[in-house]
Amino acid sequence: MRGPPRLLEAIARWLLPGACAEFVLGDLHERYADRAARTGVQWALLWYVGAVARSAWAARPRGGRPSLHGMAGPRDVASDVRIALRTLRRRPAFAVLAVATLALGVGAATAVFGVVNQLVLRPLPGVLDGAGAAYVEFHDAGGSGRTSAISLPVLQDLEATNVAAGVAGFALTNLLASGASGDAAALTGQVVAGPYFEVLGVRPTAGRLFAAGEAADVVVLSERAKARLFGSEEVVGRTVRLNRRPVTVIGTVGSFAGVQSWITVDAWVPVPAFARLTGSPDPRGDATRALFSQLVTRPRATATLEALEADLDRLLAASAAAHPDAGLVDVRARVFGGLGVEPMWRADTRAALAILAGIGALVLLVACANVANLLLYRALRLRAENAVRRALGASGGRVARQQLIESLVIAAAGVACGIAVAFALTDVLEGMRLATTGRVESFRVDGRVLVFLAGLVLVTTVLAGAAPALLARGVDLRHALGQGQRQTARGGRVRAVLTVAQLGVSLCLMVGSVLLVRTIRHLYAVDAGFAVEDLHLVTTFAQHVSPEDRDAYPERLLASVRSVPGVEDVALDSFGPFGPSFGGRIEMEGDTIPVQAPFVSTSWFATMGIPIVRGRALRPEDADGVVLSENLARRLFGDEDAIGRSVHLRASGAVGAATVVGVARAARTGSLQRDPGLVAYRPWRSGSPAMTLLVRAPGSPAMSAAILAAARAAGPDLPPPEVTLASKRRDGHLGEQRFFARLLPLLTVLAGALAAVGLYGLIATGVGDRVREIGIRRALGARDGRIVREVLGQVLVLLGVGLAIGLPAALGLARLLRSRLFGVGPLDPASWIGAILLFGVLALAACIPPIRTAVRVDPAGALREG
Amino acid sequence: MALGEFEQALLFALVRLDGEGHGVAIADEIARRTGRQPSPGAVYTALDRLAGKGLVDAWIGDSSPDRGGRRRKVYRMRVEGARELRASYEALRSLASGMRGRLDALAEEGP
Repeated sequence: MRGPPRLLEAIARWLLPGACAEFVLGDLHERYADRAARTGVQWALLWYVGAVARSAWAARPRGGRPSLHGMAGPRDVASDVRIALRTLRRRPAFAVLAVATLALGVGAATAVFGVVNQLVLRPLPGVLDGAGAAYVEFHDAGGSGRTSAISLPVLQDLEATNVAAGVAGFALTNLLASGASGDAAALTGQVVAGPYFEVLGVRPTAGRLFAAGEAADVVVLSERAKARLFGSEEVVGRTVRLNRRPVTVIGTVGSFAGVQSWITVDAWVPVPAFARLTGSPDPRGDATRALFSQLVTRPRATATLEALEADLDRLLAASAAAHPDAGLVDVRARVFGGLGVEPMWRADTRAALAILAGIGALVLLVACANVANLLLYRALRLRAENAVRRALGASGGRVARQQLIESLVIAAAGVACGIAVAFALTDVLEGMRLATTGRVESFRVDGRVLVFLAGLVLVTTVLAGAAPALLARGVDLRHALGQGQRQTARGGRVRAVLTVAQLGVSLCLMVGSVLLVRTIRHLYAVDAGFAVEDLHLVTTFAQHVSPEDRDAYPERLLASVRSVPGVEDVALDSFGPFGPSFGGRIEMEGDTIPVQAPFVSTSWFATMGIPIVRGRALRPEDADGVVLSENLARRLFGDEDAIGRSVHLRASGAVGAATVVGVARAARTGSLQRDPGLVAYRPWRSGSPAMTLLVRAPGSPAMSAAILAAARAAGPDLPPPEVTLASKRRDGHLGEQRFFARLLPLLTVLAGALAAVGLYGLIATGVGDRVREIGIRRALGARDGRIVREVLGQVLVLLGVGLAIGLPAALGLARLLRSRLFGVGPLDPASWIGAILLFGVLALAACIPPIRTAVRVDPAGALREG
Repeated sequence: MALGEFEQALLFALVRLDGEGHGVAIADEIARRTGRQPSPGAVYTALDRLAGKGLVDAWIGDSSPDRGGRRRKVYRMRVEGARELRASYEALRSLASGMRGRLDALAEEGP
């Protein structure tokens, strides 16, 4: 006969007094099956709970004395809690220390896991089940591995084959919008083909989304874009001007901002509208127009990502055969499971965050070890007291239960305070993230993580708090009183092990921190090859310049900004330093060398501060001229003079021979961490949609404002350009590194503080226990130096073992961090020695107070106290 | 020793069960007669009290799978208990004798 769930019965049993528990439970069991059959399990369970409650209430023990025998009811537990609180209040230092330690551990671990959660999973707003979707990128498998794209007909072919449950393509497009007020605004738009919103599970918050084959000039806006253009008015059905054409807003999507968390999309348009808005030919039916380099898809539950990738590659090959002029010959697909994290950083970021999570766990373990230490010590100290209580009639179980409840009270208080610490730390980390990467992330305190950590903490404190008492149940009173000191010593070995473990963890973290901090210093010290300070970058929206103005606008812009007082030099290139770059290939004697091939204006080298070492800079009349970077010149021509030589350059917008007119110093204009790239600089051509103005001028905010005003004046009907400093971009570029380089030391400080407290506690209690012995020895003539040497000897042994544990762990951590280091290797001697010294100094500092106490023991007083 | 209302109900239930029954049967009997179902906790506590006063006997019976392997506690009316119950019954009957009509009137219309 099916009965009520065992768990419920166990709880009921605990609630009912021992005398009638069995019979009451039996009665309820009999009735339960009948009820479940008549009214269904849910109602039966409900009834069961109610019946248990009523029975427990009816059967509650009358009178005030808690029972000393049998199972404890809730009443007994309540009185035990009161006793525990009283006891803890009598020794506040212990309670405060234990609770604070736990709070720090739980708070730090929770905050760190919140960071990891957010940075790894990066939940995308508005998307349903992002983890079940997949992101597909196309790349050129034949040559440089750069991003490739497919055309609309090829995409439609893919969709028709049902290779997955929904395939949609998307591509970025910049849109010039003017809304209600008429001001120009630049929107990041996306042209989408296929069931884009359906695949992602995005629902409209107003209006509707695209229907299949949507052919009209319509747009879907994000909440942000809608607010920018129309404020709080209704927009569905209204007209907005995009790229100077009237377009109807058919819906809004709330907080959804695209599937790439590093790009905030404002508006979505279907393919036909896109063609008209950009004045480009209709991509429908045009197999040569490669538009979509990214897809989003929902793979079938039964298919693996590898299988999907293989299927896509196969279909692409088939398409290449069917559309020979589509340029698909070498195009391959790469599938990434889940949405959110930028693919090229995934493996790297995942590794870093895994390390971070591990460190958060370590901090928590250190905290638990500390608390366990405290509780063990306390339990051992109380052995004598407990033995007396047992002699007076309290059962061993009762005493153990009281210690257990004390531990639980501490654990509960620790976890409660830990929640507050977690929230505070999360705020700190968000600020740190903003200060380093410039990104606003919301790190959430995850309830599940808290519950898990709370459970861990409870288990630890319960074990540490109650185990000694439980183990000592049968101990005889005389035995316990006499044995007092020796028991404490034996417990001391366990405590020493815990302390040594904490020391090891701290050392390991210290090494990691020193390595990361030095990495940042090196990154900032590295010679970029150009003058990074005092360089303003003006990002214009040149793609929205009307066609007739295309040639005049850059000249106007240069003239306008050059006239600002204080400006030394101005130049143009496509994206500016620390940004993307146009790529290309140089073919030379059968060798294909991938290079960067940016467009730069005449004064670019002067403005950037990159010296020309041979020949000259580019001039406007150099239609086929090119300037090579030093390293590229050496690669192509060795020690021979490169000037006047011809190179065969294949890059976007140009294929053919170019003449070398100059050689420039190699510079790290892309990434500070990598070696300077191989660059073939090409002369600036107007009509390029990407245009960044570089301004060499003092880097003050006033200057930035003046430059911004001058830039606006050159193009009043364009969206206002964005002005930033190259040094700020560099900071952002190094943002992730800087974030970790601040986070790890923060955790190290926490873990180190906890370990120092633990060490202090161990030594101090050791001295405290032996006060009598020390007093006697001093009375007998032992000199200060001797005592100090002894205590110091103990400390050094602990440090030694801590080193023995910590060094291999530190080695492991350094190896894991290898890819994030710059300018220092994982085994950099200076860093390691520095970390070990720091560790030693801090540990010894923690032991100074107990040593001083030992030295100042008053022999007479100690003898009396004995 | 005055009997409380619930104690009276329990004893009457026992009488109906021919003087002997266990928790479930007693509670069901009370439910059948009064429409209120007492909780097993209340039943056992009160019956144990009666046993303490010497009005009923209690012993532990067999276990059964219906009860999850637990045993049942069976109670039997004692002579002293029957006498107490009779006394209570007499007292109530005496107080109430012939009063049904007036009680109904008061309950319906008020004083």
